[in-house]
Amino acid sequence: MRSIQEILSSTYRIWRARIKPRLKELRLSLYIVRKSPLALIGLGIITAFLVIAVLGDFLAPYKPLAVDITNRLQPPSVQHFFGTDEFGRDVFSRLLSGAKYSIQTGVVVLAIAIPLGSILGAIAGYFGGKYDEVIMRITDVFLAFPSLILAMAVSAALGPSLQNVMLSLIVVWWPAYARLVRGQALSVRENAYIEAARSMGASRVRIIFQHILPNSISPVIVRATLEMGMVIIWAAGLSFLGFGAQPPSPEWGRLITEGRIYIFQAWWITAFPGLAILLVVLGFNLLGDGLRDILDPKLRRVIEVR
Amino acid sequence: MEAVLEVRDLKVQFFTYGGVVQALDSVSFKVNEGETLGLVGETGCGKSVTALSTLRLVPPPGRIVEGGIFLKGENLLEKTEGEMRKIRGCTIAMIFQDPTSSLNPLFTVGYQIAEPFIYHQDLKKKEAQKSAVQLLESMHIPDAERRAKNYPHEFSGGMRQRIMVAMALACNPSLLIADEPTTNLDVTIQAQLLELMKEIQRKHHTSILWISHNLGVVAEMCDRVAVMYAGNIVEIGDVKTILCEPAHPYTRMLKECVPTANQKKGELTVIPGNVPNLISPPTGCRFNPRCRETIDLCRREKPEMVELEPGHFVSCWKYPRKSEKTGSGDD
Amino acid sequence: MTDRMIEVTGLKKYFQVRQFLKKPSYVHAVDNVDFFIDKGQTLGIAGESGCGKTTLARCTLQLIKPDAGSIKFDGKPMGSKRRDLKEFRRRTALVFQDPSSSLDPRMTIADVVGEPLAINGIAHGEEREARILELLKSVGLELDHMYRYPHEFSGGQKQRIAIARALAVNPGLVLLDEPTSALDVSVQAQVLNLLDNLQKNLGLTYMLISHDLNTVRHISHRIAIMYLGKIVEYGSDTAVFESAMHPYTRALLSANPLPDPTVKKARIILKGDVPSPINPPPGCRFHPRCPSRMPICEKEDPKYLEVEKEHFVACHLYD
Repeated sequence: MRSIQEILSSTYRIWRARIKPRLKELRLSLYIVRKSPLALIGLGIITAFLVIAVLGDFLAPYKPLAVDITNRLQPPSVQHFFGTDEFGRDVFSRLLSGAKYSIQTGVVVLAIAIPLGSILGAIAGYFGGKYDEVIMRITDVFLAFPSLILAMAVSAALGPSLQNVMLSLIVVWWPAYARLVRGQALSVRENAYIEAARSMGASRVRIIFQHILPNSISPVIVRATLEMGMVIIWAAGLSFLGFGAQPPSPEWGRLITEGRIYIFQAWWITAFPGLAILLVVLGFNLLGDGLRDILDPKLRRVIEVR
Repeated sequence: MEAVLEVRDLKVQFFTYGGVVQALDSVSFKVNEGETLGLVGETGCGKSVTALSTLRLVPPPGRIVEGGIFLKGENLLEKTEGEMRKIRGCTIAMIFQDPTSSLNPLFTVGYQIAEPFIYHQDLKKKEAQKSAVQLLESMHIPDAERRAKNYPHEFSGGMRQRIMVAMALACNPSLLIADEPTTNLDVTIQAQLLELMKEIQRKHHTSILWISHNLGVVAEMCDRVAVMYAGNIVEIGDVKTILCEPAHPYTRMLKECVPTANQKKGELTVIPGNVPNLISPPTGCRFNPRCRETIDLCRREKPEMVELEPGHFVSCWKYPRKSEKTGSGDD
Repeated sequence: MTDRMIEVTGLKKYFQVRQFLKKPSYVHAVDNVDFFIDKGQTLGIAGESGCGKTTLARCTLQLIKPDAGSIKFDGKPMGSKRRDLKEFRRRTALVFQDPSSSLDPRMTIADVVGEPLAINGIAHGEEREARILELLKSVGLELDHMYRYPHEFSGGQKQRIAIARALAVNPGLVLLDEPTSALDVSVQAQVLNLLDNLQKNLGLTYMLISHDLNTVRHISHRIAIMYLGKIVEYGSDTAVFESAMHPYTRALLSANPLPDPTVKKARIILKGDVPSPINPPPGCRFHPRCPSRMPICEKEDPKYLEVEKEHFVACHLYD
């Protein structure tokens, strides 16, 4: 039995051994981020967006579904920051409340498409041969379709709902990651540490999950951050076309499509949700660019201090 | 003897995020006409930086901070970039370690060798091509005329190295800088290349600055040797003295830690510790933390270059200054 | 019980080379090679690029499947059963040339060194950590290093980590593939000394592959010189280095520069390039470059014969 003192001291030693070296890396990352104000802006936007998505319903001054016909089509004012729509519902509240759908869709789609694509890509890249052929031909089939049409087709087939939009986006999104990871896997597998693992008797599963995937993940992370914005726009787009969220859901794409008819009389119903989408996508793009710079090993080492 | 190249108190620093790297700390040496000076040292000692400085090709964030580089008496650091371009590849030529990445895979070998003729000597294309073929023949590449039309990937490593030598010699340079040219070659191919280089030197009286970490190659090729450690030259002298009776502790330990094929050694001498971090190098003599003969003075002050015998200079407190005159390579 | 750790007979490995619109030809990377290594000894395999030593090493370790030949490991012939292979993997280890790419950059040193333990299900939790620390200490590293990543270490340290990993499950045979070529001169000495000590303390058997004759001489007990897929000379280190018989060995030794400018050697400079193994010359493969070529050399492949006690040569000069 180890005494409390022994446990504390070994914990402290391991803590010091693990944490201290990470601090220097962290400082370098923060330095790069600081040098790139755009990435910080992106980070700020995303953080705001996430806060709104989580707390939207609490922050909203009015209930998003609260109908008030007497106040329909009111321009932006102190009582209604973004005005009201054709049913008198507060646009601002609907915007806040709808944020969560976008983030949900983005997260769910990527959380499923990326692992699915990555594992298939890693298998194709590492094993080569028949596995590679089969998997790549399947991705070819998916990539041969114009993506938006494919998404629309799948949505239409499954029926209009936000869940089905998520499904159709997963179907459209996974092949690109399979390709990406396959490319990485092809070069990772040439490294000596893969041969070392084989010489130790590592199983193929172990090699894929412990060695190939972790080393192929960098470009995936960058791409995922950049694409989050894309997924959000597409989900909104499909909803705009009627495939996704159904009324009275305050999903942003829906908000835009509902305001379309009134665009000349009441521009605010469409404009603000549109602006919101623009800002969020911009935020993800900026963050993604900054992330790419942080993860670029060459950039990290050769930075001149004037 | 007139010195083809004289480097005086050269200081080169790299301004990086982590700090200022003191890559070269007052390096001085001379390369005399027709001789081969070897520059020996391990990774990070500054030998490649020295070579690049001579051509003013130090990559940013590096900068030549102090010192003078004199090519036949003219200070290269005072020249304009345009003037330097005329010198590079013409008066001073360089050959590198990896011939594969030094040759452009998209152009034929004949074209690449002809380039310096066209650029520096203003020859017409046909004449330049003829000269290129002649040069290939002098490199002992069989069937030179046909092979001049081949691309680099159609040659073996040893041949590519010879092509690079041919390119370097096109304008009959006064100084040839060879940065580890045989490190990537097989032993028998290396022997061929060394023979070739010796032949060239005999014929053209070219001066060579030969950079290597391989003491055997240095013994074969060089007339004089300068030993570098952590941005300083610690010892310089003729090849026999340096390799057989070295004075500096680092040179001695270097010799003892290398296994040789002609005789099995017991346990090899190990130089303890690691090459120092040049952002904050040790005070005093940079080798003192790892030296087995260190004294207190070594930690406080950097030793000066002292002439032990004519032509043999050491920078070590074991050999304190005897006379007023100190220098390096002064005859 | 046998004295021999590993015995290889008749090993052959051919690669198919398909050139556009031509019939496929074969690269005779390893062509009928025999050798053995006694327990606790080191066999150094030397040769230039294209001689097949790397392929030979990988076939011996079963990382590439040989096309012909038999391998006896510790007296037992190697079958193709999975259980045999797993046991073989446990008792063999490999140290690579480039320490930077032989360690997974995403794993901590503890994970790297502990991977063989994890794969073989040996030692868990605290016991595993203790074992990892023990291994690191045996190669001169500390607890502080355990949770760092490979890029934080120098080349020499990384190679020592690779050696610690190789020793994790107490192997019998360790294959060293150019273990010091990528290292600085002074670091090479550290690693060579370490390998020497480990061999003496743990009774390891080494198979060393190198193009550097100096390193080969330093730690090998027996030497094999390879040329274009065949072993041309084989014997003890004194026999091969001091009474070399094969003309290629002689040329190799004379081409090897020594750091002593006073030694005057009669240089044997071979003409031509190291040939490509795709179309080996007929007869003795060395004959186009051989200074002692005879008419028979162009027609017949010389036999591999024991010319002195335990000193084998394949050359018509000694038929």
